[in-house]
Amino acid sequence: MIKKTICIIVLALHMIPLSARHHDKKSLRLSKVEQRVSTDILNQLLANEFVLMMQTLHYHWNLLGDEFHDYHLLFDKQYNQLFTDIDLIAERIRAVGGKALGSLYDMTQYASLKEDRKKTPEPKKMVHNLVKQYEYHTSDIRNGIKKLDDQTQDYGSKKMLEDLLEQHEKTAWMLRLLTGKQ
Amino acid sequence: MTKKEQKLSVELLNRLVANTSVLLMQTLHYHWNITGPEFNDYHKLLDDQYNMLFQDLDVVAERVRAVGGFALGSMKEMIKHADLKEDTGACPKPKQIITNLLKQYERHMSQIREGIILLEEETSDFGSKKMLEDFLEKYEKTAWMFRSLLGKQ
Repeated sequence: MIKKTICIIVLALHMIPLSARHHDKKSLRLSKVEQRVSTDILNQLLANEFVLMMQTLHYHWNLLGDEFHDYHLLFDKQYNQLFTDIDLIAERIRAVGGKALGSLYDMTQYASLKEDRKKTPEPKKMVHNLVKQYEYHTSDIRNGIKKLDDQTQDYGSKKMLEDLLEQHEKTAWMLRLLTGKQ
Repeated sequence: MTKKEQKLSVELLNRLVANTSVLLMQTLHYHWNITGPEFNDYHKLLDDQYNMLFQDLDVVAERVRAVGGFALGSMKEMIKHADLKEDTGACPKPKQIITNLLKQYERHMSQIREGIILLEEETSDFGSKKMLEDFLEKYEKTAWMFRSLLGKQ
């Protein structure tokens, strides 16, 4: 009886076409190509976040003038937010099957944002520079969202980038207000 | 403090800023990219440590400002001024991660010890010296934890 049952099970398994079983197994994760597209987009954004965080730290530390206390606290909040985002993006890269960039050198190589190496810009100039950086960065995020949408089914990363975009747009708006623009 | 004392303290502290940044990045690298059965355990351990290093970075940089200098403000400068070399390779096995970090902490601490001696001999910057002593005590504890993980005394 047991032998007969086993025979039926084995027979039933063989009746499922091999290609279908193979397909089921494959579709459980993002394809290799999708993984690579997502990882590349996310690593470039990770590097940009590092440049932005370093620049915010720089201004937080090296600020001079009447605005010192006010901006020092504002930048404090912003660099901590960026540090949280950095961990989130890097862990997402791991979750989609990639490796996160792991050195300052790599960050400078992958980032599309340039670092500000001036010793201590005027406070107004600092805010102006940050607005510009956030604008470049948010435009990269938008392109990333489009690319994920076009080339992958990585809805998780897309949703994460949308959250990040909303958050950075708010920061850019607050910084723009400080420059007296709408 | 005299200009000369300020210059000495600022240079020394900025090197510490750079080394802390390298150590922070390396800890993040391993925290993210580690694989193996130790994943959860080490991932959490390294989480605590990078958060500590991130706080320390801010403390040192603000000390640079307090003694009258400007803090390093870009990754390129951090790499240039650091005594510690970055690990730009793929993430090593868990045991090697701990070995690498222990080595980096030992280099970092030896720079701090030299810094303490220098500040004592050539300046009256007692504030910075005390800060370095606090860091030293803390990092010695971290290094002990790493050594214990490797089964060493």
